Amino acid sequence: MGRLTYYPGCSLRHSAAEFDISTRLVLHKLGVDFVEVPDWTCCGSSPAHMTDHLLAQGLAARNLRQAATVGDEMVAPCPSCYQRQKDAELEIEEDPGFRQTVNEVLDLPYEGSVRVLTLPEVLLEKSGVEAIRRRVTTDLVKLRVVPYYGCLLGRPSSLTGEADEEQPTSMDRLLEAAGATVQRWNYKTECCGASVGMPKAEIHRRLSRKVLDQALEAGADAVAVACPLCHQNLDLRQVQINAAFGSSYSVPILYVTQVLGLAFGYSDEEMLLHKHAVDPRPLVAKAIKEAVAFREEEARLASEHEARQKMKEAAKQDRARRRAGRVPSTEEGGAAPEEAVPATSAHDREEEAAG
Amino acid sequence: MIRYDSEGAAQLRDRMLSRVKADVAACYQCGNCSAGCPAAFTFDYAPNQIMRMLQVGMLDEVLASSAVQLCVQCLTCTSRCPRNIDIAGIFEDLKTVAVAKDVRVPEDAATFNRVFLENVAKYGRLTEAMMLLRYNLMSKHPLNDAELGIPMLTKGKVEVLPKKAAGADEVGRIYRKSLEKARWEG
Ligand code: SF4
Ligand code: SF4
Ligand code: SF4
Ligand code: SF4
Repeated sequence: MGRLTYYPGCSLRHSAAEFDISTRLVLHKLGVDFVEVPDWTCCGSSPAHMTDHLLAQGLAARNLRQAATVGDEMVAPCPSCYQRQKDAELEIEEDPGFRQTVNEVLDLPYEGSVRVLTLPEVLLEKSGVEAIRRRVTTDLVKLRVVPYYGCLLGRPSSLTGEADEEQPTSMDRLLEAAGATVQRWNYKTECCGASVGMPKAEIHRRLSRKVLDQALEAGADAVAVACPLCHQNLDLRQVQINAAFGSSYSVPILYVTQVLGLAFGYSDEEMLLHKHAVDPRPLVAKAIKEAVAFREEEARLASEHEARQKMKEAAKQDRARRRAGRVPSTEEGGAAPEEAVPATSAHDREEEAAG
Repeated sequence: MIRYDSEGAAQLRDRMLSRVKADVAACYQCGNCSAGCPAAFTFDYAPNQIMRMLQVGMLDEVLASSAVQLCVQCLTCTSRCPRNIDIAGIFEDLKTVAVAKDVRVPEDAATFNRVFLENVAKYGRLTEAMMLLRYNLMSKHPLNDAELGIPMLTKGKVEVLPKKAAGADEVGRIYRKSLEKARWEG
């Protein structure tokens, strides 16, 4: 078997369609083979795990069982879905007694062992930084972004495999491979306050504002996310944050897969950039234009530099020739003429400048 | 007025050990969990205080606290605890205990969770209408065109008639069977 299965989850089916489509296109471009989990159902999200443990694990186990009919790995781009299913995977693997308990609430038992992966994990494991770099056709060097992992992509490291919970790097590596300029910041994993079904509005506004503020502080023009809830919180609710604090944030929030897709040459329409509340298109267009100008300027400077180097080289040879005429042999003289006779070299430099 | 109920405390410790694999007795009150908690400013007791209350067996007080209900499950506390205690796991478990015992679960949260799960149990997948409701409740103010109409409704993000997913009936049975068991064990 061994196929990778894809679990879209409810958010990606609906409000986060741009995350779904950009993810599928990017996986396709990178040649990562996958198939949708047959007849997947909702993982139950926070309401299930806040209500009953067995219910939460049962809903997740049903999806694992469905995935097992066609493959042995599952990628869930939504970190919330990922966490639910990963948690069930681990508990069922570790405890055969619990597998039995879960199977009692399922119609058909789950006997497989499907490994659940985050999207950054899949992109890095099944494709990798080099393969991504090779497919870049649009230069995004002038797109300054900060990666926002939120609370679920890095924590806990026993689940996600990130080496450092406070400073995960998977999204950084993906964005750098796509050619974007990644700014350093300390808000990568700061919670935006929305992981539970219904938090206090006060909590999420305060936390989301901090995230936007810190992104700008870090010199970023946009925030890259890999979570539909983070996206909703930072993008769709930016107007509310502005209304609550009298601020005027207008920070585009991009899915990491949209950045990869743009780098691979997909258009704004293909990446569904128009679906966002804070329109990222002007920023993206500007960044691409600036990158072209920047590279032209870079090429111009490089050719000027080359020309200068050639001139220097010619002058040096000229100097050496003349010196050879004046002092027939330095080979036995010991000291190098340049350091030993400063007056001569100063004189030569004048000549070089003049010629 | 600290009551120390040693028997209750020992029982509670065992319970957390078996349910969450977390040892509340290991907590040495460093306060790291509270320092990093993004939601503690809305709690009646900070996470480390809850840990202390669990150590001395004050389960009822803990279940009645707003902290248990307002925790957003961001896992910051768990990842920063020097004693490797899964504090977020403890909070999560306490939430389910509060639901089972029907203690102080805020009305709107309880209603939301129930409506959410019933929606899933019926259709197998969350319907778009449910997603809008979630958004509406989370932002605590009515939907309006400027915020939702334009970004979501006109951009083809809404499905008009909910369809039933193929696995919906099984999901309904998982829902009923799990809650049956929860009631039976509680
Ligand atoms: S967590 Fe959210 S998006 Fe994921 S399957 Fe469940 S409801 Fe759907
Ligand atoms: S939406 Fe916010 S709360 Fe959820 S995972 Fe993303 S960062 Fe955490
Ligand atoms: S971080 Fe851990 S040890 Fe420190 S107070 Fe919190 S639970 Fe106790
Ligand atoms: S999981 Fe809950 S208690 Fe722990 S830091 Fe997050 S909000 Fe606070």
